[in-house]
Amino acid sequence: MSKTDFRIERILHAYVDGELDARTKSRLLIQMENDEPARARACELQRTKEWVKFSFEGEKAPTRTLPGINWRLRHTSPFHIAASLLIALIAFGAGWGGRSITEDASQTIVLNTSRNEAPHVILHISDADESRFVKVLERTEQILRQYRNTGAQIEVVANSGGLDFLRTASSHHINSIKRLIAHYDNVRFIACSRGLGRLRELGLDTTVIEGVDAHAPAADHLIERLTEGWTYIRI
Amino acid sequence: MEIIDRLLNARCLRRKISDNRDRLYGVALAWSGEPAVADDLVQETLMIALQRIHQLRDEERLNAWMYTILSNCWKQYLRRVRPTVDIDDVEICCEGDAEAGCSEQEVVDHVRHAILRLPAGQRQTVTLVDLAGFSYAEVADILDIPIGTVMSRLYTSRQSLQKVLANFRTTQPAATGHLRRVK
Repeated sequence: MSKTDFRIERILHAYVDGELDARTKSRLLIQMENDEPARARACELQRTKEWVKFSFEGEKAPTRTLPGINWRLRHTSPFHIAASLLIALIAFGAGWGGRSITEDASQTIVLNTSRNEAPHVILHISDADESRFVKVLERTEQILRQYRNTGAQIEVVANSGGLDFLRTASSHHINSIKRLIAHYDNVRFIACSRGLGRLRELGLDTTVIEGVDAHAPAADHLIERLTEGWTYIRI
Repeated sequence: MEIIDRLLNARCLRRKISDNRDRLYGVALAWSGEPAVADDLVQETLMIALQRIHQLRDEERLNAWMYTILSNCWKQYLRRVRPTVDIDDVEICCEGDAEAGCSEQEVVDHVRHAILRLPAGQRQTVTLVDLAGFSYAEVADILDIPIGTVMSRLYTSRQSLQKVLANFRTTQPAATGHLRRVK
């Protein structure tokens, strides 16, 4: 095949694949009017293309569940997600000092999970109230003890005023947080990266306690976890 | 409201991902030739897509993004499992009424067989263009190869397929086909 033939061949492939611009296409169509072999070649290519498509088109995949999505959403009803989301919205939007959604008088954390499912809990604090953060630490440890060896995952997310508890320059709970992180490998403390950025702009020291994650905005992280079906507790 | 929008959007994307199963399966079957392998590849692709949905910046690219994942899963599969069955040992048989539309079925069998005999790169390229309907640029992006390579692979693979088809002069393709490969 000559270079010219090869070039024409490539143009014909592009033609049947709908890759030609309008101008090139019209030139080719005019040329093909007087070129029987080129017309036949285009037909052959089109035919090949159609057979490839036809040979596999309409194949039905076996029905299978998708654990990647169902496993996380299964233990959470749409109402639960909506309720959690509403609380998160209120917490962020109005600075509401809301109560824990699962707080009860007996001081026992009751998580809405079935017996076979490991709880995934996110505790959220957004103000600098010492008593609240003490409660966060108590609840965290309580859940960790209560659900020991069940595969439970606990995350403490702080934003806004709550960041004070995770910054080395302002926290009075450095040792407690370090102890929890060292003692339990299923607990994470997360500081809102956006909030830290704002504090940095104000000239404040934003160094967080060793072991605290500060890579993502709290809002994004909360949304992700809520979508995945984690239990949300606002302290 | 932004949070609600994003949450709803994420759920919508998840549905779109799941809805792609059959299309992905057809392509995976063309690449692997094995229904069980194709099923596993698609399942893995969907799971990865669902887990990494937050990494998708442009929703317009959802389709191409999923085929990129499928392609990566396929590469990993090829690295993990060396083909142990000679393609010539694979028998292809028809299900259902063998007499009705037998000539078309025969062509389909041979086209499938011919596609499986193509080198992996050509097989991927020609099916992404002809079966999945991607443009050259999208295929280049999915397979991470230059557009020129896409065109060369198309040219070569179609040459091979045409040799197979040259032996068949049949009527129009039937509306549906039911095939099963057995060892």
